[in-house]
Amino acid sequence: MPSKPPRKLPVLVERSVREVDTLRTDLANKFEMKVRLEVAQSKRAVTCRAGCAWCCYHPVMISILEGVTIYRWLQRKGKWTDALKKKLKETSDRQYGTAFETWLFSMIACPLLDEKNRCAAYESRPLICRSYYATSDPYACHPHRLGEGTEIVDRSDATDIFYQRQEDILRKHKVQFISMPVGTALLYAERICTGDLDLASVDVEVLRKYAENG
Amino acid sequence: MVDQITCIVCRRQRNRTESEVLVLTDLEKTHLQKLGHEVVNEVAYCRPCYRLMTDQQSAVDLMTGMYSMRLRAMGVPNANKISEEFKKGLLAKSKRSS
Repeated sequence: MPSKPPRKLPVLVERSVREVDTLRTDLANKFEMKVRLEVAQSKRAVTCRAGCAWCCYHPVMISILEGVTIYRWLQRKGKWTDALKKKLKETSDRQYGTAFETWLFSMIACPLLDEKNRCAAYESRPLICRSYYATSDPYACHPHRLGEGTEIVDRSDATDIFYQRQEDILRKHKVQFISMPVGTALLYAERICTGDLDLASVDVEVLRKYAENG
Repeated sequence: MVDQITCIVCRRQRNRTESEVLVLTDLEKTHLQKLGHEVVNEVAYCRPCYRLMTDQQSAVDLMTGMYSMRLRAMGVPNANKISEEFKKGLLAKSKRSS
């Protein structure tokens, strides 16, 4: 069945989505500056390279608002295809309700990772991904080798502000802040943007699915 | 009171009715005994872990990851190499059984 076209969101929801998008870009830019400074001062080097995608196997959870911004970006770029939706659904079913450690060890790739080991939504990827800068050997980012040898630039300042702000925004809509796997968030985002689901009902829907999934 | 189980993979408590509980055969119990493990009547999996364990690729990765973590926690110096060998063994077994 072809996807429904996105509709215009209610004014207050639209404002919240834009606020999250702007905040995410600002925080990512500031964090990048911080990394550059830290790297210059400490003589440590960022070891992340294109094609290394071990961090795309780490558990990543995002909010529905961040999900909407990524969904819209994929739509605009013509990347929201049936094949991608199928992949999102399959991955969501495997990640949803799975304990983080189990998820990590099972090597379930992010559904946005393409066959060339690149992120399909790179320019709009989640803040938690944008703020991942490894300074240790990339080998140490492999899900089975994460631990003492893994060094990343501390990103808690940026992510804490982001999560706190999203919680405040969602509270205004009387919605609980619930983080979910990327695939799950994008599929809910599509339902919100096409009018199948209201933002106000997302938390109830997510918790119902969580209970069903065990 | 709701009967609860502990998932053998993630150790989370779940309702028995919402889990997959496998009753061990006598042969399996004897095998456990031979390996020096505690003999149990059944093993339980929560649904998310069961889904992963019934997929050959995820199951191999999951078991390798858990094995590697155990080795590293025990301070085994060449844990990564040993777990890669373990993975090869699991893959060979899964190919034989499929």
